[in-house]
Amino acid sequence: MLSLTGAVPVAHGLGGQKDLPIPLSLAVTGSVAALVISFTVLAVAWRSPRYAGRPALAVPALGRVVLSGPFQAVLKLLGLLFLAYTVMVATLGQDLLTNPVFGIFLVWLWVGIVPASLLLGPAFKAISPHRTLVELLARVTGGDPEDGVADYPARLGYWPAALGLLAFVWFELIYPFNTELGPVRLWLAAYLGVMLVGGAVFGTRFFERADPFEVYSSLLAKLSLWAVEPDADGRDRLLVRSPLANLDTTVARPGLVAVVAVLLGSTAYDSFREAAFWVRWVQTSDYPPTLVANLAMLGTILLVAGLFSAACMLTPVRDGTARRALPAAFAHAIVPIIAGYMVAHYTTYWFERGQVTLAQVSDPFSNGSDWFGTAGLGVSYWLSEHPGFLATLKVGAVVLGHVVGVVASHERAVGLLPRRHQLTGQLALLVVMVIFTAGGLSLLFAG
Amino acid sequence: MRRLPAPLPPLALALALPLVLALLGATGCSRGPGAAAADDGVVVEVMIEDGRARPAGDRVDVPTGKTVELVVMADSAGLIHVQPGEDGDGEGGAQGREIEYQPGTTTFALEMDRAGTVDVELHDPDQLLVQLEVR
Repeated sequence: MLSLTGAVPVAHGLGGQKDLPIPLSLAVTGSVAALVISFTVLAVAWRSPRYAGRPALAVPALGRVVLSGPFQAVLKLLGLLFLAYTVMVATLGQDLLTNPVFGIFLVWLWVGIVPASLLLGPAFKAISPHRTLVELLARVTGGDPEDGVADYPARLGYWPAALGLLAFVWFELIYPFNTELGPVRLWLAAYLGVMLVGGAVFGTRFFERADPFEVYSSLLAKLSLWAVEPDADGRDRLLVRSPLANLDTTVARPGLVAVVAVLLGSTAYDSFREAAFWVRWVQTSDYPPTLVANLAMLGTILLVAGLFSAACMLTPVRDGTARRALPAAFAHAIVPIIAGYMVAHYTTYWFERGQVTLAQVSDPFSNGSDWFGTAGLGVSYWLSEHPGFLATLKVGAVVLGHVVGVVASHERAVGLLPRRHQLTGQLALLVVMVIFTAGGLSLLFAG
Repeated sequence: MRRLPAPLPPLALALALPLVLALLGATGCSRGPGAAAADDGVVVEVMIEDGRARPAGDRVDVPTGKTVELVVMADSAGLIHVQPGEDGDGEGGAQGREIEYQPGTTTFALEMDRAGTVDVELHDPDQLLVQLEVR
């Protein structure tokens, strides 16, 4: 079957029109701001941990609604309907780029997870259809939905999620046939299969550690205002608190560094693979482009992981603190940098391709039908038409993410490092974070 | 067997890039097939010979609302993909536009009415020819 663009795969997948590079002046201003703010935080901020055990604002009225059984059930039902629709278009839809499955997978799910989780909290967990199916299975068999029939091995930690994320970014950024129906169907089927088997064996705890989308979403949710914690009676209650306090509750598990490195490294690779210097080099070299792409993405991820881990370990520690444990203890500080960079990298794509997808879902079989009345919606290109606003938004997001990351790592450092090394011990990590941010801004400029 | 060169450290490249680009910008980097500003728009020349195509990833500035004249000089017929299409709307638009060129010189007009980066790609061999920076 031919896709809309002919038999030859288009390397850019759903691409669409890309953003203009940001102006050099903005890239430089952003980098300088990041540098100055970083050292200001180091010099003037608090000297003992500030967020641990800090009281948060309880919102019982809203909590009664969103934590109630019926509300959660509605969300789960929406998730199941969404899965059913996706399975339908993936199996019965045509192999055309107008098939909504591509937009659902590559835009609504992968990019939409960022704003949803930042604004609403752990959004993917709330609607995750495989989580619902495993809970239903446990109810039928009388098992424990959370723990399943076997204990999830603690030393696996987030490693399966890191591998799952790597499998996704490889599919999105490197696999040349990612806008053909067969491969998308295969990827989704394999993902769902692994999730259902893992969930049946290890219970829903498996999803908290091993589901790439749930782990990603729940990490980003640490930057939201929302938290759910049990009160004195052990009942869950909804809290509103500072994203910094929320972020500080991230539990350091094995594989957390790998998760953040895959997210940051792959997005950086996505930026520079379209930069003029890289395109020219790849296209004029004799090496197979796919091999170069694989090595470049993996290399970027390893570089991010290596720089970050080395910087975390280059610090004096108290007796009894293992140096090897430090990267995981600081990894949450990279999450805001990832969030800022994702916002910068994907906002236009999400806004424009998201609207195209909204029109496409109304015509699931590409036969001109209009199920939801959205098929005729025009696409607003407001962001593309305001490049100055867009560039400022992107740089603002990157710098804000950097500042939150620096503050989060400072908070962790004053709690973890020996008192007399609290400031100097942070220097290496601070320098690496400035490198990540300045590098990200340079890529937005070169992109 | 030839050894692969080590992949260039991307962050170092990224950091050095503003400097390099500034130098390239100062010296100008369009030679042979490439871009030239005309009164009423921009001309982009593409040369396809013996399965090799030039340019290979040049950037060309295009003012919003101007027309790009794409001049294709080829020794065989083929397809060029412009992503996205000119209007960026509706069927084929947001997905891109196909251009069929013939042996010899063929000229196409592309309306650029929305700011952004537009890729002009060759299908066989799969290659990015130019990126139009519409601003």
